[in-house]
Amino acid sequence: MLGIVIFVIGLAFVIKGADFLVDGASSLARRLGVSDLAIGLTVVAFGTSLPELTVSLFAAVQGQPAVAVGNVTGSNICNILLILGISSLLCPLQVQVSTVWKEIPFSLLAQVLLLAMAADRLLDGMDINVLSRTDGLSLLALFSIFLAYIAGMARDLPQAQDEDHLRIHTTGKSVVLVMVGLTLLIIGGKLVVQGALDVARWLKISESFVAVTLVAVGTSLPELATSAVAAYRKKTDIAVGNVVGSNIFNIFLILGVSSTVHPIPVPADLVLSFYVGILATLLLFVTLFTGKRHRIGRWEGAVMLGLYIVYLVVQPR
Amino acid sequence: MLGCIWLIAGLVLVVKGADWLVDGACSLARRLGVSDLAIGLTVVAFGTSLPELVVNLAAVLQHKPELAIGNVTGSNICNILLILGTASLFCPLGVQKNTTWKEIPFSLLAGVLLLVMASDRWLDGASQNVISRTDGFGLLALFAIFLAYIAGMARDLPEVVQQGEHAIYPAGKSLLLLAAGLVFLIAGGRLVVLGAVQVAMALGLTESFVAVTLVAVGTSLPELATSVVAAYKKKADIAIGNVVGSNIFNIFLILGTSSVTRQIPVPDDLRLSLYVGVLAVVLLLVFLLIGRRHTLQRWQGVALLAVYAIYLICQPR
Repeated sequence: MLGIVIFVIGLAFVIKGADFLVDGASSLARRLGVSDLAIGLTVVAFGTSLPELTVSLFAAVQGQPAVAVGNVTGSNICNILLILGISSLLCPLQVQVSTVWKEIPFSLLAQVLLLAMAADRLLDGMDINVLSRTDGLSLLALFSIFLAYIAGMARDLPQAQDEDHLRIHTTGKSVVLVMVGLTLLIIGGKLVVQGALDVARWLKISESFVAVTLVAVGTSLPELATSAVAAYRKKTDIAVGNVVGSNIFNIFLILGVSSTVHPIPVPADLVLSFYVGILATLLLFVTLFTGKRHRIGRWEGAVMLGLYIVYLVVQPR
Repeated sequence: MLGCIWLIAGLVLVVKGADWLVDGACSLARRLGVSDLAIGLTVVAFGTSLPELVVNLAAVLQHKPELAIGNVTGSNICNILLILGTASLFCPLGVQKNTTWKEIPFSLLAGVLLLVMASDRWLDGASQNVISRTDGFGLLALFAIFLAYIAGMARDLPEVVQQGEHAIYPAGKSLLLLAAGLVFLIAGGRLVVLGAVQVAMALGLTESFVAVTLVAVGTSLPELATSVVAAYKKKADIAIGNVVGSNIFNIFLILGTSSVTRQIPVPDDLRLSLYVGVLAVVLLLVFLLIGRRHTLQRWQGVALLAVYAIYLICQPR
């Protein structure tokens, strides 16, 4: 029971800490004369991803690979099958052309590459499957390309990244925000990992299962909020783009940074989640061509949800 | 002496074989109704790279990692320092904006990433430095992105891809060209490797040194020809683009395919060439930004050639 309390507190810390840190850092940057584009990109890049990053990073450093990897693969599955599934049941989702032909293929590439990198035993005849530092740096190389792509888009459509109007605080307040944010992130990251392990022990389920469900959904809350707001404002085309972008970030940025800091062995009971991640991305792509073009309809959403349930049943606990 | 003959005969076979294979395959593809864009891309992608690819595959399969890696790193160094250095002596080379801001940074990423992937000992505490199969898949993923970038450019400016008109032969002749080209390529690849090893033995040099000089320059002949033709036609801006594109192909396509086929240990006496490869790209980028912008001037060409001379002196033989 205590585990779940620790987990929820940690989550709150991590999400609030990310908010504070981004707020303080961007207001400092503006005072130092950094361009709006650079700030906007950084906010998009790191703002919604900081909670996941902190949790995976801590898990990797503390030798909890199940949480580090499961957080990412679970988030990606949940993003598509659960979040897009539910959203499209409520109201069919329209998708932008660039999302269909650039971002979804890019995220498919990410998923397949992750599977290849985690298959050292099969491919390279090694003793264990591990995301090594060289793997991590490759992922970060791909991340830099994706960032360049976003930067190019942002230059063409300036309104794309300025989704929230950032306030400028005084220097003192900015510094305090940065410090408090960092502290909250660090404590929160530890608490989330600790809480997840406690919950696993308490419910007698594997750490991997807790990671792909509880931790994955928890750290995805910021993205969920963004998508919900977008759907509420009937900007459904942003919803799918957000989700796909978040999946790309999860693999290239989060796993890239985590495995560069500390190589991550891949637990055998998470291999299924790699395949399901690929399957979910493929399914998303296919649904855009069945029924109405570039649109996720109600019944397609139902299929996604069905698949999510099947995955939860099959995933070893 | 005999080794030299093998090497030259092998190079001729490989270059001619690549020509025939591309010719036959294109004319077959056109008969089967494949689009011009797809054919043009394939020709650009594989046509000028086939000789290097075949030599590298032959080297990998015959357990000559010195030749496989040295061929690529040596080609990349020679492309920038020797070819661009010499060309800019004759006439200052202008360059397109895209090349400066997209392709050169991308090739820098390629060079740095290759260095990272070849540093398993330092980064991951592995017992040896090796370009593994998973590394190879990472390289091929980046190649896919580069190909998508070229495809996007080709759609906007069709003349980029349409170099040289391809004749349409009857189906029989196409098949014959295809088969003969393939045989030439395979035989030539083996001869080049055999010749290089013998030359090294005859001159008392290491195989690595022969690879970064003789083999690298030899397999780059098709690119050299393209660049010379471009410079001769006063299309100097294409020359730098070709060279940089070829460097990207060498790392992502050639080393990617080779290391997916069989993992390649990185010989210690080739580490210098990895660093010089990165240095050469950085120099090129800096030279395009200082002095006359987006132009490679005479004195800069002299500097490139000087660095090449120093490299040849320092490279262990």
